[in-house]
Amino acid sequence: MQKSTSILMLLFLIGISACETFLVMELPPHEPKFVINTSLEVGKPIRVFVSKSRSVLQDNHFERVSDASVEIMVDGQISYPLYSEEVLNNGTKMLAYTTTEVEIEVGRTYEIIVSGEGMQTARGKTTVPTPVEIKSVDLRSAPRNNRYGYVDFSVIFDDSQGSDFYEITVLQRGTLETIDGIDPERFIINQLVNLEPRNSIYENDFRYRTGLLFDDGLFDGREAKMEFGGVLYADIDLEITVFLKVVTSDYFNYENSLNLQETNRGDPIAQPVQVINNIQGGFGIIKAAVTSSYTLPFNNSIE
Amino acid sequence: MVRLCLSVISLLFIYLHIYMIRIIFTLIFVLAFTVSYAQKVTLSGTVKDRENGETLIGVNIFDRIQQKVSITNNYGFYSYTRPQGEVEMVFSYVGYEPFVFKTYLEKDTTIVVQLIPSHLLKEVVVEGDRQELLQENTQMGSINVPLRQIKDMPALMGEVDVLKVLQLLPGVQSGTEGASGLYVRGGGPDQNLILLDGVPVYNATHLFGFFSVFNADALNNVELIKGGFPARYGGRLSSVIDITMKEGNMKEFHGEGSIGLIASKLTLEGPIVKDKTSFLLSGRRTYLDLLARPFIKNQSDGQDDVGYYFYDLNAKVNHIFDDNNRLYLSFYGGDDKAYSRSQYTGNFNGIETKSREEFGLGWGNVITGARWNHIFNNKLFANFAATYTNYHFRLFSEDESTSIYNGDRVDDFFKADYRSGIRDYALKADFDYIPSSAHYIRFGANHINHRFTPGVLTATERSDIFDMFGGEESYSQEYSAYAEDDIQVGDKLKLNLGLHYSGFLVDGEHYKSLQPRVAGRYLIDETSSVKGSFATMAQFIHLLTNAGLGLPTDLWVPSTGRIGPQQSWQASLGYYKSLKGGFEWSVEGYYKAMDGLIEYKDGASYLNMVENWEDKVEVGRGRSYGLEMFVQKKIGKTTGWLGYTLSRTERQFENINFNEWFPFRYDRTHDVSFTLSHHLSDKIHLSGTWVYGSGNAISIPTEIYQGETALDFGYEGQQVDYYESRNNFRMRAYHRLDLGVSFIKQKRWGERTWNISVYNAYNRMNPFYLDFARNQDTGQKSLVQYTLFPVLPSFSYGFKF
Repeated sequence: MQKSTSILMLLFLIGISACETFLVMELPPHEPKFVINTSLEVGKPIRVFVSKSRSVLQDNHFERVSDASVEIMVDGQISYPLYSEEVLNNGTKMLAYTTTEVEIEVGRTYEIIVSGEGMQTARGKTTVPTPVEIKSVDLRSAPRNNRYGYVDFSVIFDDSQGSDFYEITVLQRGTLETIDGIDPERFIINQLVNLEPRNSIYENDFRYRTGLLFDDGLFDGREAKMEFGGVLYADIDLEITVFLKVVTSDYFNYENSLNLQETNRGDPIAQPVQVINNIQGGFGIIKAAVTSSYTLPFNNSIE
Repeated sequence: MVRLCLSVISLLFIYLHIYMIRIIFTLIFVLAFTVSYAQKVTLSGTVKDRENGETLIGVNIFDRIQQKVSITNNYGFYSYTRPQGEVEMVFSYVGYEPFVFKTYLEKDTTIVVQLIPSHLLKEVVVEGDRQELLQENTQMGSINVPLRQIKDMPALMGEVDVLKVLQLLPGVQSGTEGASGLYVRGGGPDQNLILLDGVPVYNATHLFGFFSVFNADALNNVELIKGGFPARYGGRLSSVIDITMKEGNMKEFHGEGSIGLIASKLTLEGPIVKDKTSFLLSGRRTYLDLLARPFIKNQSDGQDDVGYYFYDLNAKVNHIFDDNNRLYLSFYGGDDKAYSRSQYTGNFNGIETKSREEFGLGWGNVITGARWNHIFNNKLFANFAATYTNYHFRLFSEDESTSIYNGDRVDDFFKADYRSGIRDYALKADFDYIPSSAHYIRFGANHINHRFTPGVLTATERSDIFDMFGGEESYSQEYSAYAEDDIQVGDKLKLNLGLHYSGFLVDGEHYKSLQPRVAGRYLIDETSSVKGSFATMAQFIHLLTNAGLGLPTDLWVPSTGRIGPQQSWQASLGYYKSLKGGFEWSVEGYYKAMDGLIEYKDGASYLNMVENWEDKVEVGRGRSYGLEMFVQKKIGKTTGWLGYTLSRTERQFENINFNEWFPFRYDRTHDVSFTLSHHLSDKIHLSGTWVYGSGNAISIPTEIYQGETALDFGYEGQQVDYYESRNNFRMRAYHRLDLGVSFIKQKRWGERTWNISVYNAYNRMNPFYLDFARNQDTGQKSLVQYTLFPVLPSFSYGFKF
């Protein structure tokens, strides 16, 4: 009896100790591919950032590529080479491929082709959309109790037929005088405004840019009235500029999917997010946009 | 009661759908009038087990002279009409001695047949007894697994599991390791209509999916239908799992039970009034919490208590009023509870504190049904049922504290309570009309009043209920009516033609669906046939599920104005043959298309309880096609089967995977199952199962690259994870061998059985989930597979008296 009890105890111990073991899995071998990132915008210089992809098992120190052959083809007819040089981006020096021979124009199709020794050629193209002018901008101040105040914006423009995608940003400029101690101080205001849409359909929690990115699903082919709010400096003369950027569908989908993936990183319960990629033979995004603007003076004060 | 009245009113509303009803009943009358009434007599009655009085479902009744076959229905009733004259009827059923009935029939006759159980049938079927074998009936994709065979299987932790046995059948796939979820021909777990005594069970799992709620000791019959659905079934796209509880022994008092590693169970049954009224009572409970409690209390100075348990209780009473009237009352109740409680009393810096924290997680089903069988005459049988089912889930956290400092008292209380569930009241009427041996007509109607609670979170601070999030309770009405006929056309051809009409009323929407069903069998010779079927199905409810584990957090939600019903059609074709020695084999091909499927959007998380579920899902479609081969031996000392499925299952959603088709998570190219049970002697039974399945498809990023958005800001480290597609990566293939041996001994008081099982006998490291991990020493990142159950021996002690 004692023997059989011992056997049963042994079986029980094996049973309970059997839980959760692990095994390292192999992934398919990784071959680096070119990563092309650029946003082609009318009136802005061409800057193409080229790097290489890495295995998911490596760290994210992305290798800058300076020796690739990069060209830009306009409307599938004429090709121009791009040269690598250090450019200044928001105070940071970055390696990019540029050219002064090509200016981005509305309606044209641009293809970026990147090739290099031992690497698969990567290419992607985009067509620059047609600009849309802002018809009017209306601002209304809300009650407040400090030197900042909430302002309601109403921006009207005409949407064209077919699927269109937009980004609205607002810039406030002005001079702020404060008295700190005895001497007055002057501050130059040159800030993008954080915007909150009135219609919840345009809300998205994962977007970290200041502007609004939206499609024309609710007003396709008609006059659009976008209402949103933002916080402006109060009781000083400001110059408000509203930028209406018409962007490509790839631009729109890339921004949304990338930001959503970023927000969910590390959440094991969340569904995976695939980021849109319009590069053949590689990764990245070629975005295009054209911007119109509307500037008006505004003093955020309550009558 | 109010709900019941609503149900009745809504049922009346159904009958206003005159147009559809007219079609259905016209079909019945057209079929009925094809019947010849010349000098026919009807033999009818019920078939029971002689030992315990249990009715026997699916008994074959073979007319040796006319060479025709009839069958008992789910209540053991049969009716067979033939010309006057000599008859020689053979009643046969697997596991019972055949009964031969010879007489001269000159008028309608009713006989109650009692078959004698036979522990071991001879290897060769009695010559001339042509049972209704696999090739005979029109039903495709239907498998009836004898309970005896289910109980013979090796068991995980000593617990025999009906759903796990069904997972071993071709066309049926399990989800992840150990889980009881069923994926039938590419469908999701919500697409299985699991019926316990005719009542739907919405969450059929215990212990986070590792065990099903069905206690094998309390069951009488298990049938799986995965294609070629007869018109009497509706409401789900992929399968019907029809489980019937035992009725309770009408002759004498008996009991059986077992004591296992994690649970014990006891079933008692017997007559209340002999041959008139019987009862069955069966209970099961796990006791890990009871065993662990003293240790936990000891470790925490009696202040902490953590535990988990599940229990279930089956009860049934049936009463025979007379030969034509019988009433069944059945009940199932089961709950899972996980809890953590701690309390603290002490004094810190002069502050006297008393606090209590409690966290809990619980889910369960309550199911009740009242069914009344009525035999109007020897050709018309009816069953009327009123049923109630309630699945509830609750997750709560509660903190309470009292602090006293310098005589000042501060009380604090916070509670967060999340609840979800589904509750149904239903009324149902089913009729079997058997006008001749060439027709078996079934018709009926059904109405369900649903209440959905799709995740309501309530937070309470002190005594104020300050917020409620998530979905609101919603009510809906579902109804259906059907008619079908099994028609014998000549000697070789048999057809099953049917129509199922259903509707769903929710939020001012009225969804309707007419579903034609056709199945046919052509006998090639006495032992083989070909069968084909076509069925359309509609499903008005959805299950929101993340991991597909059958977790209790899965949400049942109705079709709404925004999210429509699920629909499918399925076509199948197969060849069936019976061989000598009790062997049967079949090969079936199928194609199934599904529409209106829901899936969480990219980035959506079911833990986001604030967002409405409709905003978190995408609606799309799916398809599945494959070939299933099955060889089975049901009788003799050695029984078992070999099943193989070759299949592909895919999904497509507009905003997932860029609108491209992608493999379903449980798409398995190859799926093999082999089961064997051998009775070495009356005292020793051996069993084994071996399963193999291609790896599950999951989403894993394989590369990373630099993102564009942050370049504007001068930041170069933004990372994009590249997923080649949704479910782009295959886990390792799954295979496993389970072995079991039972030692049976007759005792003065009855019978005892020692069962020893080994789960995963050769210790295969099967995948449970995959994740990226970093080695703490080298810093190297790797993809790691976690395994839940390596080799897992278990034992149980069973008894019968």
